[in-house]
Amino acid sequence: MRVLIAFLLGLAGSLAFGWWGFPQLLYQREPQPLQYNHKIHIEKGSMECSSCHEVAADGQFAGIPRTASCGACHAEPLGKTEAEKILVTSYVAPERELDWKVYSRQPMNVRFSHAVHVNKAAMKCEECHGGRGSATAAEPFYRNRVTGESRNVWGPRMIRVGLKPGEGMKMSDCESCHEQKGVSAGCLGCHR
Amino acid sequence: MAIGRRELLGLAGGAAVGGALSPVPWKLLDDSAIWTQNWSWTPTPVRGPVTEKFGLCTLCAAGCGVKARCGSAGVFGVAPAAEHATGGGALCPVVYGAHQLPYHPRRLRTAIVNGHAVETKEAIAEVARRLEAAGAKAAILDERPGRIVSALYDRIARAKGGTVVTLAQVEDRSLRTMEDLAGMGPGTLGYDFEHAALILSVGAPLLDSWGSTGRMSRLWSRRVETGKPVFVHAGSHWSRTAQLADRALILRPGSEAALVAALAGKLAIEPAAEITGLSPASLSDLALRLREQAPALVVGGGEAASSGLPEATERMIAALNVAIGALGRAGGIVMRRPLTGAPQPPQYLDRVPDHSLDLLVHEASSAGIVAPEALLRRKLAAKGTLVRLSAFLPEAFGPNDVLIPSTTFLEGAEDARGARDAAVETWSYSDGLSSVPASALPPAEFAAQLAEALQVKVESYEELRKARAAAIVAAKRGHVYRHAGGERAEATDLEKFEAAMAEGAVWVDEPVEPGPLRAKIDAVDWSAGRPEQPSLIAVASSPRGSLSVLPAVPLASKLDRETRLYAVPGEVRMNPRTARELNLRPGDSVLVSTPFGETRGRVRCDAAAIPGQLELGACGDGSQLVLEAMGAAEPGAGPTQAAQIRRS
Repeated sequence: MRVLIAFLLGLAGSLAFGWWGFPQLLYQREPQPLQYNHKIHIEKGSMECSSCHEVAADGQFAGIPRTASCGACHAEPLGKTEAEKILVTSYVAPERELDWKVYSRQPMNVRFSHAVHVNKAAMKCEECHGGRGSATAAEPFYRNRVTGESRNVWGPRMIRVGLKPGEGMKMSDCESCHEQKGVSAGCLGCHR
Repeated sequence: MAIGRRELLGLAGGAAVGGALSPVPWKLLDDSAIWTQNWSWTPTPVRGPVTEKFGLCTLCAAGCGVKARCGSAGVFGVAPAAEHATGGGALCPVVYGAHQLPYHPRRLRTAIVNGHAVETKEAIAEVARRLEAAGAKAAILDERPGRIVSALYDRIARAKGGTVVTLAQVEDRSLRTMEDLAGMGPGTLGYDFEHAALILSVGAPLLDSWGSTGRMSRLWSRRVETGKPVFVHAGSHWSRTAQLADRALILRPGSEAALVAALAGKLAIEPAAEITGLSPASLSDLALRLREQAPALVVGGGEAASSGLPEATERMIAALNVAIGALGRAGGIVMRRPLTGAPQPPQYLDRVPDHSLDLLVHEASSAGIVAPEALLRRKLAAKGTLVRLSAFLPEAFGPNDVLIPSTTFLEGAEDARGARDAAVETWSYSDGLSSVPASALPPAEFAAQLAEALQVKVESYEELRKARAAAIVAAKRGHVYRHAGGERAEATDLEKFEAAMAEGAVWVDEPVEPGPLRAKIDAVDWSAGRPEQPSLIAVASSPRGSLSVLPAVPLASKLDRETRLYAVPGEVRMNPRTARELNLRPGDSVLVSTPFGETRGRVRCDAAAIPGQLELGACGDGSQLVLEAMGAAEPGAGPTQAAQIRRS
């Protein structure tokens, strides 16, 4: 009986550490340089994702826009929020780039063509990026201390089951989508 | 409650089972796999937008158009500009990796005077002092004459009584002999290959490393479609041109003169056949074709990694061209107008008397042109100074030498006059696509600083470039060729002209209306000796561009090694039968000696090599020794050399 209790204690402690303590140790919370409001840009600014995250005619994806793009509208503060003030005085006016923490950045051995997925496969941004486009503030960025990547690549929970669209950007997520759509990319389609 | 060994084991067992059921091991396994792909020291390109820009290849004088993919950190990919007027949508293999040259470990990063590192300004002051002292015994070696910076060199040399010289490249050799016989200045003749029906190359590598790659590629593809021009190659070894030609005649080494004399009707067919080793029928047939398949043209020059054919043979080739009516005829050797605004073409270095120079300034900034070290040294007096403006450390340097770090491929402003053998002059320029390292002096900056140190007044590079553009527009001749879409526009408005040129356009001069030209061929000596027949001959094998870019371009050297198209540095390629006869095995370390020098290498057996022929890799490190052994510094030493080989 005492052995069973000791076994169960070890089991419970290990499970508690693995499922609760380990993620706290593994991920480090880092602040974004600015509390960016996607929703206000879409609703009040009548903008689309491609207004800032442009896929050029030659297929190149602009990624995170440069400060100069923000400066096109925000040369002067467009409101009285703290974020607006920081944007104009600390970044737009001195022409300094914002050090955004990118939720979806992949390791260097991965290449991904937005042009193929957006233009050719007609996928919507939400299918991979979830509801980020309608968020009112930048969600916390958690950096994996081992890989340096965002927690969003793995997904919000430690167990990778029941993921909704936009949760997780692991190779298995790409594979399952490719399998569903019957598209084969081969190894070199995504890896270099 | 007392805790015993059993309870501890139970706790550990529970913890182990719980650990396996937790994400810890599985997540760490996954993360550590990703971690190993992201070492901090792994070089990664800087993230940022990718742009495509047009530049100018400066690895030889042809100035082919380059389409470069540029990121924030500089150029990371090179491709040919499809509609470029001189490049013609092709590049030499070496250029595809040339954007890696700026990062080569042998990049020269400091000036060196007499073996000591000094500030660049001090080195320039020292060069100025020695140039002043040398006076008329000073020369500037301009590998690519006709550029804007050539005008600066011309003014500096003239102001101090010195001269500007250039190297006779393989394309120059026959043309300059014809220019001499026709009493015309250097650079006034070119080959009109496009209208020729038959082209006979006497040892000339026309289909491999000749002129502009694009021009020869286009000719080659047109030949497939129209059957013209027919390429006949007569050479003393089985070269790549011989393999690609419609007809290849392999001569006995040194018997080119007998072949040409027979084709000109100055030597009977039978003895000529005996000397050359060709059949009388093939000689008679070729002689007949040269006259009947007009317009025909004969090109000499020999291999790039040699000093070419003897001058007497080149004179015979010139006389044969006159005899078959190739001089001044469309499809033959045609006159071209001098490049507007360019200085007088310089004289050739190999014609400068030996040991007559106290100072030779060698501008080898970006070029991959064959400059045999032995030739440069031979022209200098015993304690003469060799000044090199180079991007790379040379294989060796003398105690009096001065080295000044310069720019390389796609760094800094450059302009190009076009290939020496072209039927018309062309001109293009680029402001450079990669940033110039702080230690490197672009040629124009070097010339300006040298002029200042010598107190010679010269215009700036930009002023001279503008003046040449204005002179071209004022001449109302030729057209501007934009490679984006291949549009042609008249060169009539300076502003539009400059805007187009800044985007990578090429100005192409109008061709001179073909007309009869005269050449003094009466004094040509047609005697053809009977050369000795060596059992073994050596030839240098290397694609143009990698020949003297001392540090081999990584991609090109990889291609060379993996495709096995050429013998790679330190390699002696031979037929397995030859190796057996010489009692050699693949991998054996050997010493190859010729009448002019020795070089070492390792044996590689290849059934594609013809028996009795040793191919020496002449690119990258060690190429100077191969050039020396091939007699590249000895006038008229010929494209092949008698060789001996032994284990070392």
